[in-house]
Amino acid sequence: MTLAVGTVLYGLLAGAIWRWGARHWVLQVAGVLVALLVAALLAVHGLTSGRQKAQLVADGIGQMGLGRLAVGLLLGALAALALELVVAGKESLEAGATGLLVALGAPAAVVLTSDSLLVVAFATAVLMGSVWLRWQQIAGPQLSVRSLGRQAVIVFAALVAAAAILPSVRLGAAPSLLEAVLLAAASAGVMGVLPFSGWAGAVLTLGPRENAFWRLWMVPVGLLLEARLIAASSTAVATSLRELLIGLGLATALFWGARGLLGPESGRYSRILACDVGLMCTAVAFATVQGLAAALILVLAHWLAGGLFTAESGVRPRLLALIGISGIPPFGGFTGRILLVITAASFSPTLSALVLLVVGLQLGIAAAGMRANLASRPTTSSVPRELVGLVTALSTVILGVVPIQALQFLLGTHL
Amino acid sequence: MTVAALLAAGGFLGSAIALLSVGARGMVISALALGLGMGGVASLSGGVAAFFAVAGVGAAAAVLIAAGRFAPGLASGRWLLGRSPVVGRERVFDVRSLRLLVGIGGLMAARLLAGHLGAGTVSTQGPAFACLFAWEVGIIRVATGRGPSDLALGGLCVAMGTSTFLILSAPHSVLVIAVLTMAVPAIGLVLLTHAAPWETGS
Repeated sequence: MTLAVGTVLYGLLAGAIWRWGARHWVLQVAGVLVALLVAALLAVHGLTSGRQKAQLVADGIGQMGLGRLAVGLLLGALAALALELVVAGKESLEAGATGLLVALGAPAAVVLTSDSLLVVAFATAVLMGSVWLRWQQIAGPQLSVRSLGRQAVIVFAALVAAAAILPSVRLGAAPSLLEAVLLAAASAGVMGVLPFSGWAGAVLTLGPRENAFWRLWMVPVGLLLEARLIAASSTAVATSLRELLIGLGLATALFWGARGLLGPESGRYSRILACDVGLMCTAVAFATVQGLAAALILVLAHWLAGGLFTAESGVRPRLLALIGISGIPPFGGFTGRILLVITAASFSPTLSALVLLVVGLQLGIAAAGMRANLASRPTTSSVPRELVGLVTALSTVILGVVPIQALQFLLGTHL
Repeated sequence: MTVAALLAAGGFLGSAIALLSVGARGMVISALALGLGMGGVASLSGGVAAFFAVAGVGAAAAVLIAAGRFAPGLASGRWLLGRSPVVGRERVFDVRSLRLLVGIGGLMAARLLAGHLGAGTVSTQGPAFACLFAWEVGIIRVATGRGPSDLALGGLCVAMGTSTFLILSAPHSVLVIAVLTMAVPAIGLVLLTHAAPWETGS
């Protein structure tokens, strides 16, 4: 009930931002109000509801259960949106985009809290379908945007089919592998892991500002969905699911790492993000606390630094952001990657070597990006943006130096 | 031929019509054929209520799509998606030929997989085959789609196949959620049928 009321109020506020958000202060005030309202509702709901069930259910609407990690991710995404608006300043996201970004919090909350696969399928379809509709409206039916529309329906199809065949799943039976393939396709589709490159393709076509939809909502929601699907599946399904996602994640990281190194300057950040999405997917698929922590540290690093690539900021904020996410110690990007290398090493030396190769590629991408920025960008920007860049860099250093405490404080995750 | 086999054949036929139909009129016929065909399959386990639930969604969608020609408010593709530029493109295969070729592969896959799936107490070989084929038709329409309406019809095929299978598994506890699962893509189909396609030609 609390969540339903919260969702309705949340939708009304998002609509108000959409309608009257052209006046800049409205966006700021509404953003703070939304964050406070959601925080209060989630806190009340968290206190009054029980723990989330271990197993997903195939039929019925299931139950909602809110974990500390889900609350942290939802509020973190809203805070990252606020940071994005501050960074962008006068070139802020348009009211429609901001309203949709706020509104997407409601289906994201349902994906993270429901234990019914069918309800998760609906909420995921709403998440992806809304962004597809917006992008088709502003860009027309370009190939990459069309691919995103197809991807949204395929994710929906995979999740509802996984719900339908769940009762047939048993050890050693063909449906177990089929179930794993369907769940892997759904997870990969939400995040943008190969063979589903709709997100990366569309963002490269539409420009860096639209990146926020993918970075703030889809990636973290997809990662937590992947973690839940692995944890809630039977052993027969979870084993195949993990193997599939480790393979797909590494393939994505290698592909986008190479594309980032060899591709042009424009859209470089989107390629870094696509590469990191592959690494995060692999990290979560290891199904260990260290793997999950590595993925979450990378999510936080992108939330902090990503906004600086969406605005026409000066060279220093961009350089600091690149350093923050590139894998140079002691920044958060380095800590997340090194934690992933250690986790991979405990599984297989080959996996560890492949992850190290991707990390090397990303350092190369960052170096190329820094050189291009120094050569072409003006050396100064407005004082607030410079300050935000410095604060962001400082935050990624804090994230890298005290990752355990940062994760525990922000997301309630214990290493 | 048993009643189950006859109804499963009806489900298969409805899916085959949805596979090969094109244009706005094709969407009306597809929604109706899918609803009636899969409704028959659902009735094996859920009885008359299940039939009316599945067939009702299909029939309602068909009526609303047909009404969209006369009531522009129902056909909201333009304000949802904007004015899509239509691009002509030469193809080696006609879209129906392509779908037919892929559909034959899907038919084989459904035939192989149907025996491995259990759906409650119903003998699943035939009914599960019809559900699987409907789901595959949805994926084929999405993969070969030339416009937003193909995505919506693909979603409806997927939802009809899945919901019918769920009704076969647990007829009494899933009826409401099954109807919801079908209703959402059906609404999408009503809204998007008259949207401009991405590509011209067949």
